[in-house]
Amino acid sequence: MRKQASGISTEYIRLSQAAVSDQQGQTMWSDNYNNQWHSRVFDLSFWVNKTVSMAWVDTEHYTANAGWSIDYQDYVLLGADGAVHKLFSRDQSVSADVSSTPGMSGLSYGVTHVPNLGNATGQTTTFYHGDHLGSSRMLSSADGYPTWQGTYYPYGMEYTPPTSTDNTATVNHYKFTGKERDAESGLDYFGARYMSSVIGGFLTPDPDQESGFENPDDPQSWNGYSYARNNPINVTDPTGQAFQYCQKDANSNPTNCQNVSDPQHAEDVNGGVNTFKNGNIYDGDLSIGTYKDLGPDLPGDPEANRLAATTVVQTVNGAMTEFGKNAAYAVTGAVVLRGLGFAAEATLTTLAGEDGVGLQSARAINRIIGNRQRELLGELFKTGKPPEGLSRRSLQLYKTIAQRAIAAGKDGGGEQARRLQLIDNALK
Amino acid sequence: MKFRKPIRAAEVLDKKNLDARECLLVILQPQLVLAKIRPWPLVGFVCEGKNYRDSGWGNFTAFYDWLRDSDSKVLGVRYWLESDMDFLAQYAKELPYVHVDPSRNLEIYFSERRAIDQLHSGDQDFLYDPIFRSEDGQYAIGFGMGWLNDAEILSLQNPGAQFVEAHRID
Repeated sequence: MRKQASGISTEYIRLSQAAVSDQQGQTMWSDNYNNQWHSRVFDLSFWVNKTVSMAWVDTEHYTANAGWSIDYQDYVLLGADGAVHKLFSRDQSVSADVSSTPGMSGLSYGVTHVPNLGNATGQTTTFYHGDHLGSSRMLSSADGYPTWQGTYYPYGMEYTPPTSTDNTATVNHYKFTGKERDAESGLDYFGARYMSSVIGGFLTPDPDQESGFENPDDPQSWNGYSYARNNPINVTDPTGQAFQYCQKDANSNPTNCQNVSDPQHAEDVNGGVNTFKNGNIYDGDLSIGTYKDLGPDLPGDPEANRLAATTVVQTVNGAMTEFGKNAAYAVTGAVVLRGLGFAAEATLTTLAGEDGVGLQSARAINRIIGNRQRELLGELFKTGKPPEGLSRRSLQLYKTIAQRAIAAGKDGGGEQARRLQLIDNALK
Repeated sequence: MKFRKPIRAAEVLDKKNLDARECLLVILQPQLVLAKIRPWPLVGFVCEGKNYRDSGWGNFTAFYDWLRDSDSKVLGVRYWLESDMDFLAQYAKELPYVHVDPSRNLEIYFSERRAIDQLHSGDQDFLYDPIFRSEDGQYAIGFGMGWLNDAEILSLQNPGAQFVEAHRID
């Protein structure tokens, strides 16, 4: 059977001629392969800058007993840059695309697909080739033949429809940062949450960052829906609950990368200063990395130690009042709070004739906790069992409230002490 | 489309619709007036021809305890004052049905009955208790009743408590 693409110019290519050799020096026409698949790569550089009018690919097959068969799988044009341009596929549902292939414009073609004759043994092993984020950029077959290629925008949306020589539409599910992409919804599964590469963020907030004040002095953590601290080029999110910090070495390569899981993060909030200064992330007395200022900011940095030993008060877009080390912070100004997604209850106004709102109050912290989390806390206190959805952050914030109430002699006949015990049990 | 269940559901849970229960409006005028209204939260309400607006302190302003007798009947509510709310104590100290413990709490009694059993009166609720203010400077406090049971809500209608109609302002 002959596959032919015809045009109007003078050059033509007949890839299956016995006189033509592939890059291994083997003739393209051969009967030496039995029940094997071979990737034949043919150098087309001779035709560069020439107008190709016709391309022939000949195959023949016989299915008689004791006979032999030849079948073709796919034909692709492999660009000098490694890009794979699909010409046509054995899969009849995949259209050949000669006319839109770079360097092949002006051609018309006629392709008759042949059925799968059943000789496709092997070819079950595929190798992933990733980039620095772990995104799959190319798949290759066992013999090194490229079978799939993809590129992405920063937040994972595919730059162009991926190119594949595989005859199945589901050749690769594992795409941006190696996460599985749902074929129907296009969402990436990150473990704790789904992420939309089209939106550029998660569909649900970080389970421990729902109200955005897990780390009030780290502005990039305020939006629980954001992906990888809005720094998708350098940072990945391995679990949907965390982000990965990397430092850069002298050659600007990522080094000392650390996944900060939420439990660890929560412990850090309890145990040490976790703050942000000039774009650097400090975690206790350890500078675990940067997300902005990618300098040689290594563990043991004196500045980090200084921060660890100091109770830090940061000012962000207005006054940020310290409630105590490792406790909650509140930000004055309704505009700021609205910017953090607290629109429903953020407006801080004053009563006519009275003084302004004291932010160092249980009221302010309860605002940070939010209505729904407050209800869940109430359920814990009524039933003694932590309800699903109650965050560690809310427990920690309420713990501060309860401790203050007790210290002020307003513990409701021991109720706040009982709640403290429940919280401690829930946090274990 | 198949979704795997995330490891930890981050969606807001709607396990218990607490605001399905009414909010008790305690209108702090010389003669105590009570009203029940829902749904909440409220922007404001109209009661006896007077507009009360949320004063902006938020949906949670302080802890509150339901004051019960030994039979668990609700006789009043104790409102724990935050340090910046002495103005409310000053306002309420002249009201005959309010017992003010300065800088600590207000005990608002719904009737003449004041036989409180402290063991049954330590809710420390923090569900919803906004402060409202009328144009002429009268205050009212709303108390979410989401955690009260049916019998306790029924017990609010004890003799001596004056309930009126209130309508929400949207």
